Amino acid sequence: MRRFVTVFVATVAGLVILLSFKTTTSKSGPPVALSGTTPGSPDPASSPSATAAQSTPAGNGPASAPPSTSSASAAPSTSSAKAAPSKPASGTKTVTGTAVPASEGGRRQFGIVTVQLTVTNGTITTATVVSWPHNDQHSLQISSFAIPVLNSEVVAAQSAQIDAVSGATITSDAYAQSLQAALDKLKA
Amino acid sequence: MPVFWPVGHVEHVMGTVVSFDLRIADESQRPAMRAAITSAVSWLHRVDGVFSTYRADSQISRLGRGEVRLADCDPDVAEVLELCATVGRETGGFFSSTYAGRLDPTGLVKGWAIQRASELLHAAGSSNHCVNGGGDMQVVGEPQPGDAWQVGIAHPLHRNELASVVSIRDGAVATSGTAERGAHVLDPFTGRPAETLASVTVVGSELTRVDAYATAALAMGDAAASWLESCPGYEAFAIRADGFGWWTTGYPRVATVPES
Repeated sequence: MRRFVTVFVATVAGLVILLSFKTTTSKSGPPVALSGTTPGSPDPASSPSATAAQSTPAGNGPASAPPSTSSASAAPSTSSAKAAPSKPASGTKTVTGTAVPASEGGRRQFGIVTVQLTVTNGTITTATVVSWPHNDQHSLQISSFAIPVLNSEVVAAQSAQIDAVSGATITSDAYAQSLQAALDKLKA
Repeated sequence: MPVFWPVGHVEHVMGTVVSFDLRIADESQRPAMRAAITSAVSWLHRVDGVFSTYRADSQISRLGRGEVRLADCDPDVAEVLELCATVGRETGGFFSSTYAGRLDPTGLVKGWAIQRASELLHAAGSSNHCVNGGGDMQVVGEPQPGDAWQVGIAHPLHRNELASVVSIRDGAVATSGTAERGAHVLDPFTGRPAETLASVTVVGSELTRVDAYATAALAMGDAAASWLESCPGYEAFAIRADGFGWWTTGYPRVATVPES
């Protein structure tokens, strides 16, 4: 029996990207193109970003708590995204823009992420992803169970069913104690 | 029914252990395959001499200190640095070829070198092999007639146990994790260790990118799921530090997935 928890992470992921760009623009980072300014505060109810910011875990058990997000720096921004529109300060405006990662012919890229910024007195106070790249599902399915180990009979070093092992066995010591070393002894 | 015989070799090089596992249908191929392994091994040592950041006299160290120009270095240096720049763009900057402000393409060199070693073996007549460098491997052909290579994915939270098995004929598998050397992958934007994921495995066709993407994915954390989902030809499987996991929608087509 498996259940999945659907957690909307587009906001967090986008924030990571967006904040990343902010960090690197001082040097030679990818350009952040802002287009289509929208003065004034958005209606929080109609803002897709406000909806996305709410994690919606399904099911219960150990998975009922929302999994920790990938970026600690994104959390305060996300929570303030809900608070900001409700109290439109005089110096607050919201800007919807598009962050375009530099690709220059690269085969893979993040794609285009639409980001909504709230600027208060000249400082970006919140940044929220409004939409995520075209073919993305806007969600991440995290298992509702801790990933188990495989049946030991399957993974015994003597088993002909495993040819190689992928894992972080980098150092010689770790290798010597690894399943890969046991497999290699069989073929020496 | 024909059976393949293994021709194995283990080499300590590039700060890791590289396992060669060639399969031959006929014992008469063994001397040629031994010679091919010897050539591939010596090439890996040459790469180590050029790219090692632990050796003050390596070309990459001297280039980093500005003592030599790129044009004076081995042509492989320019190729690797170009690949680093390309992969950096492809990963939105999460793959970086600098570490602590110094030139350090180590994160790409190993995968690139192992892929090239596999290509050398193939050119020498080996159509069935696996070259595994510290858990990151390029595989070609089949381990036995009609079979796919079965690659166990180590469980980062349970020593010497597996969490999944990838079945692959021609392709690459790489796992980047925090288990081995602690949180050694840094988020290049925050400078802090990437700690959300205990390990992330990427499956694709060529190890150079597969390995670098695994490194970038570890730095991204959960955001890597969306990114890898949007990368055609790549699948991924991650186990988080909290024990929960996720995988791309296509991953079950190439691997077993965990059952609760």
